[in-house]
Amino acid sequence: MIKRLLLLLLFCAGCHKREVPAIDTSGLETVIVKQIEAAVADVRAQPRSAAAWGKLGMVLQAYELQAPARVCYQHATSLDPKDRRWARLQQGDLLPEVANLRIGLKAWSDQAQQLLSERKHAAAAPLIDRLVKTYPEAPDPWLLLGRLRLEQNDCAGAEANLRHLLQLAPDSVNAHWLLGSALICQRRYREAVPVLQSAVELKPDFGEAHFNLGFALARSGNGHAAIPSFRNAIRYNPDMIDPYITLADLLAQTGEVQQASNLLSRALQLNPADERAQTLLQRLRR
Amino acid sequence: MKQLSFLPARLASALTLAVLGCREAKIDRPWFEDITQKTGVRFVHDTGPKGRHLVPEQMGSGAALFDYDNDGRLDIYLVQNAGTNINRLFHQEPDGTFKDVSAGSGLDVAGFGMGVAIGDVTNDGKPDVLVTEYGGIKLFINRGGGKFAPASDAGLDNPRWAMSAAFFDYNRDGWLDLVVANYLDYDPTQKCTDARGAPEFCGPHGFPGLVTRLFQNRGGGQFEDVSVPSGLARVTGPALGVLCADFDGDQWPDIFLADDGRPNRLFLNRRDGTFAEDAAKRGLAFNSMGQTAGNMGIAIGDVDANGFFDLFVTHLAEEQHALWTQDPRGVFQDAFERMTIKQAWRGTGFGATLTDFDLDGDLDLAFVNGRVKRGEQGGPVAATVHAFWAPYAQRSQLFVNDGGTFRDISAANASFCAEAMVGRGLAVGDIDNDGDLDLLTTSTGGPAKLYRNIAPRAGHWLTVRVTDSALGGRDAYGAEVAVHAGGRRHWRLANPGFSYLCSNDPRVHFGLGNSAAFDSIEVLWPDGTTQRFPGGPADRAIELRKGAQ
Repeated sequence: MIKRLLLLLLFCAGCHKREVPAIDTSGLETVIVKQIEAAVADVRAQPRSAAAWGKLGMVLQAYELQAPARVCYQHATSLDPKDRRWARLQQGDLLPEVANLRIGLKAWSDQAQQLLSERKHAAAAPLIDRLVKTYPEAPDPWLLLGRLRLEQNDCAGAEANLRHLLQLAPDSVNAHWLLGSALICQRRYREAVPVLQSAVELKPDFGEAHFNLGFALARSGNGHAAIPSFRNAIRYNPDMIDPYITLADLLAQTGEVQQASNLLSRALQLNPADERAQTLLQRLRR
Repeated sequence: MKQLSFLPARLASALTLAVLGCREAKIDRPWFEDITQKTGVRFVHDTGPKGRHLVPEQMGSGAALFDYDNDGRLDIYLVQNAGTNINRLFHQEPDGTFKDVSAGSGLDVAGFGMGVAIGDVTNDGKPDVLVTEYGGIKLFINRGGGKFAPASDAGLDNPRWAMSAAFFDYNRDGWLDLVVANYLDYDPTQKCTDARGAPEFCGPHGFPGLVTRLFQNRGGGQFEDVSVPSGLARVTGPALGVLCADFDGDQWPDIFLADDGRPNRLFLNRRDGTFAEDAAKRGLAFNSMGQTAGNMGIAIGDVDANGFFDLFVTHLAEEQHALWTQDPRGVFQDAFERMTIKQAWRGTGFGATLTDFDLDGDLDLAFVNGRVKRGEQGGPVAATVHAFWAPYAQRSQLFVNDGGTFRDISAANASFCAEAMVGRGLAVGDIDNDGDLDLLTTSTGGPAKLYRNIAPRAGHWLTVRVTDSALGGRDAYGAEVAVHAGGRRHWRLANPGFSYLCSNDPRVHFGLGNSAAFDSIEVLWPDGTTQRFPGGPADRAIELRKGAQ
């Protein structure tokens, strides 16, 4: 009898009633609330399932609801102490499984941006399409769509998306920069200049925008004005090779051969295999 | 009590262990006393108007412990962040109090300050000051008499978001060069929210990392940007912490950069003015799970006493801190689990130090914490922390090295660990020259705090300053100092540039345990020459001059 009592005592941690903790869903997007509700329903349907409690914990942790998440991990641990994941999650580890559960505007935007940076356009396109349709008033989806179209060489399409974005977010640096790029892509250099000037006014240390501005100025026949833009691009982003080469090209045309050679040497220090820099330098040395 | 005889064997043994464990548990005494008020260090970090959620507001600022007037006592420099309030210089008076001598010092400048690095760039024996800012760096030359002059024509152009910086002599020409860890190509117009749509600080992932800049001192404090020819511009990243040390054993200083959310970078010095990035091969790019993590503050020390230095790097609360141990020379492994750093709870760590606080001969560990996103209240928040910053506040943590295991003794250290702040900077130095190391902390939107070491002494000590008369008597940054005592070799690097945004006491400090004397001291000078100095009694501060006996 006493043995039985002791066994009961030993296992008391596993026999107390597990209740879903209070979850404050105020302010969360509807899709996220639905995701949480589905996880809660799973727990209610399978109250002795460590996986269900763990999943609810992970869903909550995905949206920074740490306190109720910890309660769920506690329940999961008590039901399945062998699964070390629950203990790690309870300690606060952010496992990849948690990040993968995130949905909604921010999560999908982050995913789309990641896909774009990996140049996985085919995978990014449907995600961005869904974002634009679901969140037409939010700036991020339009920025992503503009970037996608630009990278797919649909420059006119990108321009339309980015102009729409500028109505939603007039001070968006990236919108100005990408719109300027979309105009350059359509050889509308003169139109690109004021747009890119706005970008560098909003963010004076924006090296890429300085470079694009220099490029637009040079191509619209104002090479002299382009020189400070290229110099700024190098000053802010000494790792970008293109400004060294374009500036060297401009300076060589104005007879500044030594300066041009120095710039090309710098470019080759960044990338010894750059053929444009090699060719131009050879030409200068002749 | 009769029932106990019926206990199942397993339960009985478990209870016995628990009771024995209680009996064996050490009673930890406090190691630090908060002396901020009584020493007169009055400084509250200001981030300007609240609610803008601009990332540079939350990342700093740092502090320096240095003896600017060479009176033998450490002074304090604290950096502001709002763009309007001035940085503060505190002079340590003979009675150990600090006097605000900012006005007219030349260091009383305002800016979007981040970090501070100290180094004598003119080789005149007087330490100069470099302040890093969001959007630039500022060098101030120490003119003596408590006056500093801005060196705006020194050739230091770094128009980006500069964080930690360090002085070191990478080309062995006797002049201190400068490396500046730049963080993000931040776009202030980009707004971020939390899961509920409320404005929140953006993380690093939406912004590209930047070039870490290297400035070569051409002599007399005139610098040239050699970021491109040196090879540093070839691998960019979002650097927060920087440490210059010899990572591959060739006796030339290399550059380690703690990158936020990206693989760390290790630029190995190729001894010809160029560097090659090699972090992944050396085991320092990723954590033990092979993942990138939010690397922030850096502490250096030989924690396992194998003769090679190790690195402790702080991380986010949802990650693990990393303890990269070195063995064999030049190869590192994240041994956080193996070295069993037993944390009672996990915070987001920034400034850190591996220091022998109790003088027992082992390196202990301290770091400050502070969130980067709002979260649960991490303990009572210090009164001077602005309400806006309270949800970011966390407590600091302190660990004793118990023979290879770091045990959390924060609970016994209320002064240092009980009050929550948005901890960022942590500087270490012997402020009262009593032979043990004290701490200075900074916090975002909160107070700077000064803590005196009152740890029960478990051994003897030695403080060593290494200088080079041929270089104006300046501190020999980069010198490796090994004290032989009691059959052990205690290793330290003379380099104040570690932790996060801070500059530390340039002297090296040794806890010697039971050794009341040391047998010898071996110095590997920055130019690659070695020198052995004779032994002597412990418990004193000594200066070793290059070439002297």
